Amino acid sequence: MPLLVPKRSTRNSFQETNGSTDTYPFEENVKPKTLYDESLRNLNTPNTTTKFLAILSDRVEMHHNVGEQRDNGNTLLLNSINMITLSAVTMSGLAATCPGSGAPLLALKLSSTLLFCAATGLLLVMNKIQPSQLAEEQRNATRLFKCLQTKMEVTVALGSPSEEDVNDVIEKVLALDRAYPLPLLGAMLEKFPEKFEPAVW
Amino acid sequence: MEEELMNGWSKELEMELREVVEVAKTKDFEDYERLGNKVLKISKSLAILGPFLMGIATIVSVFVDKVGSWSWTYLVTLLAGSLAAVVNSVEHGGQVGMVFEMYRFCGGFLRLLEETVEVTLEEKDKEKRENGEVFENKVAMQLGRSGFQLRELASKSASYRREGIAMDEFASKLF
Repeated sequence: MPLLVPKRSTRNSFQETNGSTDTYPFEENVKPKTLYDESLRNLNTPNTTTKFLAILSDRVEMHHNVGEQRDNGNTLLLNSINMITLSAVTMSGLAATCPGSGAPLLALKLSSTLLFCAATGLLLVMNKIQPSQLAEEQRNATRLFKCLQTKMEVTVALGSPSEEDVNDVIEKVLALDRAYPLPLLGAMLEKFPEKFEPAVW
Repeated sequence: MEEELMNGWSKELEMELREVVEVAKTKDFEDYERLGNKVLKISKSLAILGPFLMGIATIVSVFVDKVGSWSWTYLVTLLAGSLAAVVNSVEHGGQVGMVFEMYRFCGGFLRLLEETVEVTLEEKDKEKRENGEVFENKVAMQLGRSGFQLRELASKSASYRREGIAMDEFASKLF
């Protein structure tokens, strides 16, 4: 059933669920706990809790946005390339059938060649970066970051995190960053590797 | 009774988890690798074919002239251009790249599961491990099975191996 829901509403639901995490669900859980810990072993604990909570900031939202942007790019590029190609084909067809020689023939021929050139260029770029693949990468990254966030929430709810937990989460975030890089130039994952390899994070 | 006390871990459970990981490694992972390689090949050839056709159309469209008796430039331009549009639609409308990335993700997911189980089993001190029953349920749910089905799978795989028959079931029921 959820597959049949139109796009608009799924986006809304993501915002809603995300909104609920954005309303600082930890704070209520944390405050009594940290106070308790403070009285037990002074200074150190609130520090690690703050550190712990500061790690992830808004990564989930960021990857979600970038994924959406790339998905959008895929649709737009695909549509415009197809439109350009088909109009170019029509034009060259017209050019061949147009009566007499001279200005109309030349104009149609020129513009169809121009459109073909543009389409080839766009297609080359699109095939090199594969926007659908990029979008899926970011979707996976969103999912994994969300998973991590839930884990952190659980850790905080169960007790204040130790220095070890902080380092562990930082390492996980860095590993995820390496597995799903954001920038297109330079850091992009190879779209056509020699051999199939599972994603590692 | 004594086994129960060890944080929910027992010899049988360890054997069972090892068996499941073995199945996941030999059956599921192989399958993903095969499919992934296939999709990669398709994606690559489509990605080359599209610009190639488009390039032909571009070059030949320069020479399009009035239809005299029989003009091949005309035919080639229209054919190559239309074909390029079709190829492009199949590649990007069918999101072949996304499918490949999905297989990659599933492969990575299985690898992660494997590592988690191995790391947990390597810990000799049973008290330090995660609770056995909880862990079993977690693994089972990640593979889309109940704890009971996981046990069934493990015993099936073990008996198949004894008799030398290849396993015919996948560890994961989800994808």
